[in-house]
Amino acid sequence: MKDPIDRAMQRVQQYWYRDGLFEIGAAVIFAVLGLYFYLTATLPEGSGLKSLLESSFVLLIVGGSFLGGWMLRFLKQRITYPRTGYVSYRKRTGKYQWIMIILTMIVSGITAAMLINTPGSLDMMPAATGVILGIILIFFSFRGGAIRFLTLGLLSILVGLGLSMAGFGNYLGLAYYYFIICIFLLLSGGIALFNYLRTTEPPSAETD
Amino acid sequence: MAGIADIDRIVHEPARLMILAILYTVESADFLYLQNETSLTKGNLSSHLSKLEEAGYIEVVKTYRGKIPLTICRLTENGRNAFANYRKQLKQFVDENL
Repeated sequence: MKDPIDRAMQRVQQYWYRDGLFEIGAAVIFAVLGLYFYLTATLPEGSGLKSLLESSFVLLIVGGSFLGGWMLRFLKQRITYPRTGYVSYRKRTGKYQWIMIILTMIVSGITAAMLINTPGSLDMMPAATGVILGIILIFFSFRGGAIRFLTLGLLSILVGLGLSMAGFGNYLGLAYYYFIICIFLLLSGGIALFNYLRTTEPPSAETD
Repeated sequence: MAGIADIDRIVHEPARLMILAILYTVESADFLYLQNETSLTKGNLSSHLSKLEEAGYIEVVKTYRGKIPLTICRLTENGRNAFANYRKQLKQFVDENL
């Protein structure tokens, strides 16, 4: 059982997710990914744009992550920090950040190579994606303690598996997966943001 | 009792302990966040922050966000060590005696 000090420290970690902006930001990235896979699925074979899209997948993931992080910080500065205060979390060491960037690039690269070179594997991509992202979301729920991430994680696994089992593999299945999870993320983040705005005082001009 | 007698009383006070627990988890936090999390009044929080600053456990930086004054607090290395030692002492005392 956690003591009051542990609970206080856990609440500090949960604060990042309290306003729902994390999910709203993630929903935007998922919408972009859904659009990417939809275009890749519907553009004719041999088209220049399709080749360009397939070869820029890694850039999309890395660039999207940086852009998503910037957008999240921007929104927090305007919505969250004036209402309930500013927190700067301890940064991981430079070595950790480089490891995460390299790992992301490797996973993205392997995924892109597999998509291009092994057509048969595409049928299971929605399931694989749903399970991997589901596990990540469930990890967030245990780390931050937000029950809604556990729900989102389970939904991700169900949607991914469901799409693959229903025969929606390939790029189109991935597009549907990202669009569906985008909707769930928007709902989850939207409800959290609504509750946050309803239960907190708007910013005042008073000094500390 | 010897183990608990020499406990750091600056840290041991409940409001200051909560402030240190919050700051231990982050790089820094502003006054508004600490006030919301501790439910202390402005005056009370200011008083406790002053005591922690005098003890060398936190540093307080006054800056601006646009035109609005902002007070940022962060633990010093001494403060981080003091909080960690306090928790270790308390845990040791509980393990040995309860």
